[in-house]
Amino acid sequence: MMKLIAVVMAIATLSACTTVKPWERGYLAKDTMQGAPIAQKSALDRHVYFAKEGSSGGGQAAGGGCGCN
Amino acid sequence: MAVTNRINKTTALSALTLSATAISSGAQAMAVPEKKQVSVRVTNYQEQPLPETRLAGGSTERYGINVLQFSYFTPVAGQYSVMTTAQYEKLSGASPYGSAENADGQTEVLMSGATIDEQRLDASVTGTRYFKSGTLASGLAVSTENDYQSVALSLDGSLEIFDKHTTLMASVSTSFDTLSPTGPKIGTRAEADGETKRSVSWYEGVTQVIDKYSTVQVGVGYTRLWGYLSDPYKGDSRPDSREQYTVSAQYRRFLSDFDSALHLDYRLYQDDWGVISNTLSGSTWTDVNVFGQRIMLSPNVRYYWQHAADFYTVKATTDEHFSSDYRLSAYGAINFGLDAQWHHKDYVYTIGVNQYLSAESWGLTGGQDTETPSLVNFTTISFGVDYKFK
Amino acid sequence: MGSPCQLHGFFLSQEQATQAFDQTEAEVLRLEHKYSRYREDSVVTQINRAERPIEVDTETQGLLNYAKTCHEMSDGLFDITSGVLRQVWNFREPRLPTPDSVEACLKLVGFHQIRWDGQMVQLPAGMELDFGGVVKEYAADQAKKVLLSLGVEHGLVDLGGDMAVVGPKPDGAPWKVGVRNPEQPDRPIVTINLSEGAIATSGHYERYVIVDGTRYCHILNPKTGWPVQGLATVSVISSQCLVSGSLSTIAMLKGAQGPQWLSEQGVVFFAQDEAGQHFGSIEIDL
Repeated sequence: MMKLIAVVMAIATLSACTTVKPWERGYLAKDTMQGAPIAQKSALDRHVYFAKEGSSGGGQAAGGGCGCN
Repeated sequence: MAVTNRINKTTALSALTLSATAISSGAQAMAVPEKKQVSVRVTNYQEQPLPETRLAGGSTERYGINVLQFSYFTPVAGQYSVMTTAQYEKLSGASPYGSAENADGQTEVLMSGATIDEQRLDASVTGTRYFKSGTLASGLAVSTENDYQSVALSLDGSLEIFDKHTTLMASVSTSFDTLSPTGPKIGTRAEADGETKRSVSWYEGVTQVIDKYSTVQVGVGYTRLWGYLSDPYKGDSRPDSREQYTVSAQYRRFLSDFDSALHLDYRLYQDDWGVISNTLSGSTWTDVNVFGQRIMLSPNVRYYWQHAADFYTVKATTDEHFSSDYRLSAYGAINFGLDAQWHHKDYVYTIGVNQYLSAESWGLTGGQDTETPSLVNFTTISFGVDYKFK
Repeated sequence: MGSPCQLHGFFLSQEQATQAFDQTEAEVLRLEHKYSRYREDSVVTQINRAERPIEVDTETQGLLNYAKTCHEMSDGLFDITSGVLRQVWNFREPRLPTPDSVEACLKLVGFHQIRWDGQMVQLPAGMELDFGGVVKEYAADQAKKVLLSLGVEHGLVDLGGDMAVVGPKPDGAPWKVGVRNPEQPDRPIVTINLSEGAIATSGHYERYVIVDGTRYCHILNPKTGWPVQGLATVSVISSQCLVSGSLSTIAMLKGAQGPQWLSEQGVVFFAQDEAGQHFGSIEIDL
């Protein structure tokens, strides 16, 4: 597992090739380019999958629990 | 070409505004959002009924849940912000509490006959401090329902390096949960009453700007749970600790010809109960101009499959650990949906629909002989409003 | 900055007020020195004197790219290389230059002739950059950012008529901003209520000479080398003073077509032409 992690992270850093100037960041700053453009939808999806599937976690630390699991 | 005609001519105003905003004096702190925002979202979640042929007793109806989400974000004193959220859920319906084999050798599900009517309320507060090249945030979250209480603390940090091309992220959290199962105080319900569950979790990630159209984020996470981890209503017996690992990647790319953002996500999950899962999801987020209004359309699709926990079984057993909870079985699920947004002055209106389908044989890997007769299919419909103000 | 600068604000404490005045003054002076034609150590002097391509800092990169965008969006009328025309146009004496001298000087004007690739800048021999048309408005926006970072919520930065609003007055009331009347310097032609955003004004009254009854003002068309005609004053309101300033300058450069062009941009503006006719979405008070 750890070897997989190292490989994935190495690929990520190697792929950084171009310099992007601050005034070229218009596209990257768009709301639709963010991790979770509809915050409440992503939060509820995370909660539903936690309650209805066997896995959890991914993009952030675990947070609190509930009786639904 | 038809695609080019759809793109609006850039006015000098928009070109100059974009260019001016991007001038960096080099000595600026992280951009704190300037406006406050209130968001409200209502969702109806409805599980499809069980097929009658797989029902050993009880009702075919499953869960229906109505959810109300509220959040309030406000910048404070130029360098801080506070995010407050609250969520109220009203659940009704039945859930499986066991299974048995029928005449055809298939397993059937025993559904609780009584309709459960439950409510859950959770709330959280998170404060963030913005520095020149990073942020630090801490939060408190609570959740309460008639048979379960949870309190959690979290700490998150981010740091921008390499001239803001790379962002390092780290977060830790811990939770304290208490169980108080309802219903007749016998067997595992009595056992679990007053029991606790604890967790500690951390996540580390790196976001990298690849070019002016795309970014990639990779991360690893670890969670350890311990305490009473079994399900008191199902009467199963699970280990009293669980270690979970995740590796995830997110890719975002802007397709300027279509005024659309492409999202591709993958997560690999593994824990020491034997559950291994893969999640692949993709979505596009496209802006269109309708009568001068900005409309955003986002179709999405997700494929998930998991391997069974080592102790998952639908048969009676004398093993120390056992569970027939479908969430610990091997199965695959596909869900697909569509969200649409209308941006109007300071408001954003969103509607969304989603359908989730699952089946024992849909997993790409990890199939098994035992069956999962109580997998869920569900539909969700949501409606939300965001309002930004000074 | 060559004109009176003021800061109006409501502060939480004496300490915040002192910090606000000190830090905004420091930031405005920093920019004035950095882009001053008269200082040996300024960035603009280094660029103008360099014989080989030179690398510039992130802030200058941003301003050069902004100037390039303005040049493109104005069909070449907004041009920060037009400063050399100062050599033939001397607004202190009521005399016009000869057409030949203007023609000769015009060869040294043209932003498209310079080498600017986003990293390095190089000017052909004899050409010069002049940030005078952008730095005052940019300084107003930067001063606003300084105030916001200090936690100031109610304020107005006024750099000789180019203004940026930090926030309305504590009771929510807007700042009352007067636009100078081209005919009568001490009376406003219109008073605007501004609770957010920024306003900048260009006018033919700032520097000019009158020869044979015709006014020749300091705003020179970089394609002809001669002063613009048509509009007496233009004020534009947008979210940033830098943008307001460039839009008002471009409108003046477009002369009679200026108001139409501003309407197409969808900005709030006020304009008066040399005949006294008014344009724009702002009503004048008589």
